[in-house]
Amino acid sequence: MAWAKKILRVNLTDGTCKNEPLNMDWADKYLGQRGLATKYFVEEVDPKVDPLSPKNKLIMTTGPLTGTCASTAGRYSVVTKGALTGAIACSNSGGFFGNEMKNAGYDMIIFEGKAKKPVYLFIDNDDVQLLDAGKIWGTSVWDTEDWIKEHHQDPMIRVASIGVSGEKGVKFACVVNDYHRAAGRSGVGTVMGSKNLKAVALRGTKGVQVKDYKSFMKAVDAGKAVLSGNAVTGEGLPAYGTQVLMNVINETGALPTRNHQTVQFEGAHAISAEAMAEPRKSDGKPNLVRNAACFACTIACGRISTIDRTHFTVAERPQYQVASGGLEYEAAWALGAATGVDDLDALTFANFICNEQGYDPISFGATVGAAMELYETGVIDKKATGGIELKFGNAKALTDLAEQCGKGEGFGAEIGLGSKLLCEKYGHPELSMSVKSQEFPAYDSRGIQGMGLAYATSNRGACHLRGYTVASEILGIPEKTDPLVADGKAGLVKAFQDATAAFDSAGICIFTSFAWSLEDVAPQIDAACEGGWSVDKLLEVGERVWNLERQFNNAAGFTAKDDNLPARLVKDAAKVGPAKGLTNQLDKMLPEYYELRGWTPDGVPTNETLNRLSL
Amino acid sequence: MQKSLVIIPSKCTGCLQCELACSYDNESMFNPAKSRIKIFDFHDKGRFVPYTCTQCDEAWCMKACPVDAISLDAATGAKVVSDELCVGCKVCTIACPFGTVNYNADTGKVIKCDLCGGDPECAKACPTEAIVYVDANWTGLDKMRAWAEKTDAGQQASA
Amino acid sequence: MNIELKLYASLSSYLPPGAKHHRVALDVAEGTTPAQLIDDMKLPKEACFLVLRNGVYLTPDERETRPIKEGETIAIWPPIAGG
Repeated sequence: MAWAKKILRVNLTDGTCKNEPLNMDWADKYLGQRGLATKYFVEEVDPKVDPLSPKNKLIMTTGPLTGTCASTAGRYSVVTKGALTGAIACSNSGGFFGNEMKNAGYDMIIFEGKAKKPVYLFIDNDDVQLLDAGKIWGTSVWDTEDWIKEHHQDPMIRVASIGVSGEKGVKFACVVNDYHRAAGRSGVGTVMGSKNLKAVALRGTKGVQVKDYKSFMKAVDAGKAVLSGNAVTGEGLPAYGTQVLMNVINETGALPTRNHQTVQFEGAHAISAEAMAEPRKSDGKPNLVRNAACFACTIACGRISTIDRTHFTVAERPQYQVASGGLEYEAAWALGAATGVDDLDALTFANFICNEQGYDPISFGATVGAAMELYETGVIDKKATGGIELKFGNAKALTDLAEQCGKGEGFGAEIGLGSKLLCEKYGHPELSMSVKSQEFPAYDSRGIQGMGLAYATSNRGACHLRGYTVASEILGIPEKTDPLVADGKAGLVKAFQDATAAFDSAGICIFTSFAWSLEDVAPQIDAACEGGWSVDKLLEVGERVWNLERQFNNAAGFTAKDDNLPARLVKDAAKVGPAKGLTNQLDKMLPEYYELRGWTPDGVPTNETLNRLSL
Repeated sequence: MQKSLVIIPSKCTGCLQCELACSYDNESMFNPAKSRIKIFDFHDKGRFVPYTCTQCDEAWCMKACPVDAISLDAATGAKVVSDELCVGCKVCTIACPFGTVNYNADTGKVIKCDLCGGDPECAKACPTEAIVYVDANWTGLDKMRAWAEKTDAGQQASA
Repeated sequence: MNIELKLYASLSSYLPPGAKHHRVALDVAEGTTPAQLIDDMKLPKEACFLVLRNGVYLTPDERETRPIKEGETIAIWPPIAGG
């Protein structure tokens, strides 16, 4: 129950689609979504595979709770070997695609091989077809979604697709569903593009069932009451969204600014949640139209925004004078503080373009920031940028590059390499602010020490969503710790990483963890699924998933040397704010972390650890 | 006291908890495709609007039914479809001006909101009170209160 | 003595006139603690969850006992999160 207990395997090379029963022994050990799909992936794919080769696979996967009425239970993930990182990738998305997939009767869809010409997968419950995508190849995510709904004369179809950036090999392309929800990081959309797979379109009307309805409704209602009664999930997130962090992180001196050259941005207030709520001069309306929920979500942190109609980006382009997915904190940071641009409308426009053309605003903004440093230090000039004055703070440069990157054209195509390859190309690899080739998100690890370790050890490259110790170190959730010290952070990072892997394997959103502990989650899973799901079992799943991902990366060629941070963060002290004089103390935390994990000093899980986790 | 469902679109976040609750009550599973209430997402406008049967007094669906399969629940005012009597002719779906009676191809019957016998699950499941179940004679009460609060407010403050 | 107060999110509505970008300069008595400042500004105490002095978190105890010094910035948020 809760699981559909069925997998769809699509071989794009042969054009075949067939059903398989879900491996329930694995479901008992890996639960679902991130964990279970990763298990399938590592069993089936050579870790050394080129991410863009037909031998790489791509899995779209739900969790057991996906499609139920548990709060936030609409999530799905895309698991593959990342085009940006060459590491295991698992990118999670909300919206309404995951629940539709479960309602069509599938826990996951495994894509193999490469189609001879562009195709999209159309699923109407048991009716599964690979169809010609000739008419939508070369079009945006938004046009693709509209075309599919019109072509099939069904406005209730849910679509996950790639934009032109994914077709053209931009390294950080996303898979976007419901116009502005994205499996965003590590280049999962790039892998999809390499398979000539433009979109997956779904209708599912079979329904989702759980094991014990009475217990389930009781556990779900209790969970919802915790979320609505909590000041963060019940008030803060719906009212201000994730963007409320902009001023906090700036105040604490942990807002990476201008490619991490400093840790506070003088323009932070202008691009914050508070600024999004202020009426603008031209029409008296704020940037923020309203908040919005993903499927079954009782938090509703999503932002729906408009751009000022008089702004240079949209004044002559009415198609962008509409409401759409607005800025989230990580995107606003990357498009703003990382580039020194404090123009809220320019950031919102760039964010629209990221959604429309299907690429990750974090990696994009951070890479533009790196390119700006290359430009300002004279390494590249206007000849390289195609005439773009690539100075920090230039809003027009940002939005022009956003459009170019979306089409894989001009200097935007070079931005599409990601910061690692771009900075290497111009002889300055040290300017790429990344781990395992993936750009940092919005927290400077000199001012939030635990995040340095979380970034360095994240299995998908630098990421805030693999162990969000910001919650404890800055926000006091569940308990406040000192962000400026390294002591105790190894244990904190491990605890966050393991718990997060369990949340990510269930089909729910990690934002519930601002209010829920696994004590709140376990009864919901246990009532929905066979298997006796306790907190301990979930924690063991979380740790098992973490080690499984690690094993894949080790086999792919990553070593302890890759659990590292750029020199700027471990050698150059912060110049201002509370972290002034501090570098990240990764060398102090890492050995302790390996030991806590039960890994060798070289970062390899010991046999004892593997046995303990039944790996 | 008879009650009515009142919908306040400005409060709706589009989460579909109402559709989940409706399908659970009626179909014993979670299946928004079988919900009697639907949320409409007007994406370009940033608007979400829940929509379902308003239980017309002189119900077109009830009058159009050739086999009297739709009847009045006197306690709630709901117009209720009898699965035993319904022959799936769909005339009611044509008669309803609002589209809130729909055919279920899996069962060969039509489905519509029956107010859950007087305790609508959608209203209970809505996390933002965008769907409420209130006195049928005073569905405008909250709006009146909101406007009443503004009336003479300036004079009060200066008095 | 002159200090700076910053209020964000739902606390923004408590900013006095003259505040810009959610910050305002205040003249307060020597020895004023953050807790007294919160009282003086009539801020709802339970909503003052993150209290930062020059960007550094103050524990509930420190808010009661450590007087604010000339030129310091006190920034306050209700419980919030994101990511």
